[in-house]
Amino acid sequence: MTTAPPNEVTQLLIDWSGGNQAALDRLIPMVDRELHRLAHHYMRRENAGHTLQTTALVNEVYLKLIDQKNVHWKNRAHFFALSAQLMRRILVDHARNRQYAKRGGGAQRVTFDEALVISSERGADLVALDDALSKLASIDQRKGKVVELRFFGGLTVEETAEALQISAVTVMREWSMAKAWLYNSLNNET
Amino acid sequence: MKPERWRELDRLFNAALQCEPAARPAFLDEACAGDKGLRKEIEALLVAHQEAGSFIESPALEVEAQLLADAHNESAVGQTIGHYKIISSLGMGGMGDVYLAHDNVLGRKVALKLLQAYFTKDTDRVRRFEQEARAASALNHPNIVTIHEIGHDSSFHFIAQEFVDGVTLRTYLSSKGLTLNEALEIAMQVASALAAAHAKGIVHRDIKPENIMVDKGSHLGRQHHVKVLDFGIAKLANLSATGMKAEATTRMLIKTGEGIAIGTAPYMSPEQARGESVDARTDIWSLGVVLYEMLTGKQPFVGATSQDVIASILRDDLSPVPTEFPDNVRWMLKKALRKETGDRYQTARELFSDLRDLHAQLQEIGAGVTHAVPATADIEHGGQTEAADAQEPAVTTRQPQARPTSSAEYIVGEIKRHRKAAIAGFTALVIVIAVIAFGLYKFIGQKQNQTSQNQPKPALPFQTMKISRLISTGKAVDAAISPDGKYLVHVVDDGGQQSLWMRQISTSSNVQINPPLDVSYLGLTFSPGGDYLYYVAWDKKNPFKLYQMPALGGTARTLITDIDSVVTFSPDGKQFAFLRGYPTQGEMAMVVANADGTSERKLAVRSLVLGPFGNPAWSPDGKVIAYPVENTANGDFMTLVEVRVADGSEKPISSQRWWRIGPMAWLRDGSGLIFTASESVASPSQIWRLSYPSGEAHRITYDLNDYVGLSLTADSSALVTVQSEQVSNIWIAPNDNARHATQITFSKFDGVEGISWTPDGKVVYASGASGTLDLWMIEANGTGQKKLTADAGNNSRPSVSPDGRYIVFISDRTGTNHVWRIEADGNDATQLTNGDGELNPQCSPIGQWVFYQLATGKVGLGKVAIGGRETVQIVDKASSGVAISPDGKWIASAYFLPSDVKIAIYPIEGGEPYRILDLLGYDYFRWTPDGRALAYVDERNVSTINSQPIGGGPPKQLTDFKPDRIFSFAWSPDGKQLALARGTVNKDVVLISNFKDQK
Repeated sequence: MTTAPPNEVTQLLIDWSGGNQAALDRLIPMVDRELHRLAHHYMRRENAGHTLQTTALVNEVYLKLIDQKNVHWKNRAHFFALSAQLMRRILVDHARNRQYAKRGGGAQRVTFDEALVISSERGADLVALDDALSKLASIDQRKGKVVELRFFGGLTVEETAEALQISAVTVMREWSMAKAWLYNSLNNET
Repeated sequence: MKPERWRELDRLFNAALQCEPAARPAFLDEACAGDKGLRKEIEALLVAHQEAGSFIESPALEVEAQLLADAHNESAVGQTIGHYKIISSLGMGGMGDVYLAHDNVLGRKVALKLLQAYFTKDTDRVRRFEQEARAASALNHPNIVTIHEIGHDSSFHFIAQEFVDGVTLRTYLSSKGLTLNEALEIAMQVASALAAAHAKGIVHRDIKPENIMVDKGSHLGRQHHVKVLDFGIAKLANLSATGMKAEATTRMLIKTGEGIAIGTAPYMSPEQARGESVDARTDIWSLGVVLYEMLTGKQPFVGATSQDVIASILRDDLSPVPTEFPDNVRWMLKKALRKETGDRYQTARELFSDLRDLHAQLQEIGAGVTHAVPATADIEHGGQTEAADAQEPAVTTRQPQARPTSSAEYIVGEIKRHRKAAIAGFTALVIVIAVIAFGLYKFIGQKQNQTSQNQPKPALPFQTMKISRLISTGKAVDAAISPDGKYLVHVVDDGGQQSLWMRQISTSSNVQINPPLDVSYLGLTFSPGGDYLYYVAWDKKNPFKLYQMPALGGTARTLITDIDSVVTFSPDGKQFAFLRGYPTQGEMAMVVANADGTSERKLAVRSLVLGPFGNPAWSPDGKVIAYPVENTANGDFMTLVEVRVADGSEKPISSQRWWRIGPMAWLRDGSGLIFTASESVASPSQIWRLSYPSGEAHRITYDLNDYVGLSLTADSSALVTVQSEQVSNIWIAPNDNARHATQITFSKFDGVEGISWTPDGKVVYASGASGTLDLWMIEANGTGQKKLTADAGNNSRPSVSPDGRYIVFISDRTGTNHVWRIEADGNDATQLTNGDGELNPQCSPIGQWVFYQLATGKVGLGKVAIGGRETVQIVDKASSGVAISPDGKWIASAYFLPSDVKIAIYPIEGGEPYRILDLLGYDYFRWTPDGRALAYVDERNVSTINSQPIGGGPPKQLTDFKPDRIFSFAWSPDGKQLALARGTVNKDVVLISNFKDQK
């Protein structure tokens, strides 16, 4: 009947969570574009004295991605959980690419778009963190979720509490322990 | 680790954190009770807790953005661009990064500004950028940085400019205080630069300390030499960053802070802040701010955020200039910083003259050595008095016209407004027909007679369904009929504002019971006795609420807060049921309550996916409640289940799947359910009947309309719904005079899904006249109408091959949309593609290729030889729509960004876009016959076809067919005639009778 609606992210997220990998292939460019836009904001930062309202920016990324039209849609927490998973996947992939580029070596000429694969020490961190987080989640699923929602999903403590249906105090408790455990695991284990 | 041990670790870690650090060893001694391993682990975690600091405290997304930004900054060093070898990074600017580079040809150092890919992808903007920069490069002035070259290589657009070995005024200001003399010297030189630029019609628009370079010699006590950077670039930066017109851009900047290079806001003039057009006087204001800052060490208008600064610029009086400054200086600052442009210095030359005179005066009296901050020595010499200050008229203030909002709010608001505008435009088109006085009550009484007139044998299983229009305003969005058939309640949507109306069928009186408001009505239900109307409404902020209102008028009262479906009544009218989602629990429930809203109880609970979508329906025997449930096991779809009222147990009613199921109603005898449902995301919402308990489902309507809302009369002889109907016909217009269009088809759904010409002047189009979409052919004079496809699914979006031999099109006859081909006479249907789903095939005007859009699964554009089946993907960016240039060299397609749509023009071989265009409508676009522009239906005014020149420039309106809407169009191969599909979309309340035996 009609062409695909411009904002299909919700549907794609659902499809992806249902195991449809093609949905992920379509989601990634959308999120990537937002990442670039966000990066652009950083580049405009001229004075150290001025900081950007990054939380607002991250929220804006979500707002742009979700299906504003669907008034019946109530399960916001579910969406954020899926988004956090998606962000984790994408960001860790970026980090892997950086590592790969580094191993590949060579001062290749890169365009701005290819700057994504510029090597960075940080790349290794994120991949290692992802592994450690998976391990944490296998021991304590809720702590894993708290980190995923807050660190990869960019959710506030309150939003994380809402998404997991636990109190904000519990989120902070879980966060303290998870953070210490992850830090310890990344720094003291090889 | 064993779960018990982990829990213990967790508990003790948190308990230890609660202790004072000094008390922890003692606590652990006791708590671990000799378990050294446990204690060691806890201690390690406590150390980690101390050391972790900001570890993972910033969201990964922010970190990633920072990384991307850093990567950008470093990426270019060492490269050679044009004949410039990049040595090091000098900094980042609004448009791109600036590098120190070596000019290999002339052997000098240059500052090389590379434009971000973000900007350079849009060739139109790059062109405008270059125009501006060239104009600025013609400025030859000692206080303006010389632009050596504007160019590009294969990867970058760049500007090579004079390298000033110095620091920005910002840096200079932060390193030392300025004397009054120094401040005036700098301001004079900037004013001189502005005067020269203004004389050539160039406004800087972004004068600020970051754009003023102070050369190194200045440090040595010589007179400062100042150079102004980036003339003519600020305008472009704004244009590019937002993709809007300059005025609109500034307005958006105000509201959002987005795109404001941090640090720009304090220098913005009030007219810039208000988003009005700016002229040379805006630079005078900004220089005034710079001078103020140089003298006092602070900015005149400040705030915690850009938004606050802008509000202050618009609202606040100028902070008093300290009285220790000479009168003349204070007077000059006030004159430069007048909020009304007319009260300000009118030219930079005037300001320059005043600065120069003052500077000369101060030199004479020897005040030049005095530090501006604090300026003590010139108090006596300046001869200023308090009285002079008092003579100054008060600076006029103006309230900010728009409350600054967050960027997110703004963007969302903008999208909504945009959509609203589209809807408003669309509703304006709807032909408003006077409400037909329609005696429904009478109608139902006479139904039998009418049936017998129409159908000689009413007992025949295949009766003709009858559809009658009850409300024909075209603006109805929901409706329900009272059980006795006397009243019709309906929702009218006018430009997004919804109102509720009650119509008495017998007298045709129509009373507005709720005024137009920015609310959304979800469902309308009469109580079984017909005494009350129950409706669910949403104020677009809070959860949906259920209201109860006496059917004959009166005050509505809220019965339930937080409800996610319509209500359905038990047969005795004492209870109703509804659905409610509990997102935090990940649950949804079927809730039963008394008719007055009290005594809620959950009858059945399921896990919540996205909805709850759909609505419950209580069976006439009162035993079960049917409702649709969401599944995502294998894609997103819904099925119907029933809940036993007695014990809450559930079982499926049918194995049939739908994408979404709308309102439902039971037939009075309990033999089945009637409901609206759509089979896929792309298919229309149609009316279905499901037999109970067999579960056999079939469609009642077989058309291309959408049906929204559904209610049955008490005897279930008729149903009421809102029919959203497209009416479209083919017209032919001579190209030089679109107003002399003639209508050549007289059906209902002609050309909505595409239109194409044969080389010999026939028009091929898709029509829904038969209930499914089929291809038809007709002479341009309206004769020789012929159907080309039949009994083979939906066939749409035709494109005729250049030799006229074939027609390619989309058909879903295999169950999935693929590109097919038929001979021009309709014979020999051949499938060309077999992917996951394709759309919008277009034959190239030259050669044998068919280009199409990958619509499902994979995304992008593909091509297939018209004689073959081997497909090639040429573009992998998610695309929509295909238009091939008349010379066959270019392919245009829309691509969707999360909040934006652009048109990309690719070489016909595919790959990266050659150009990116903004169109004000991307649903349907074609190249104009001269190949110089893309013609499209303007989404803000769907009556017009506009053309957007590929090479840039404003769009031009080609046709206007008010009040109709244009669905598709195509030029004849000779470019002399335009075929177009035009019509309306009407949303009317209809009554459907004789539906039960439809198969």
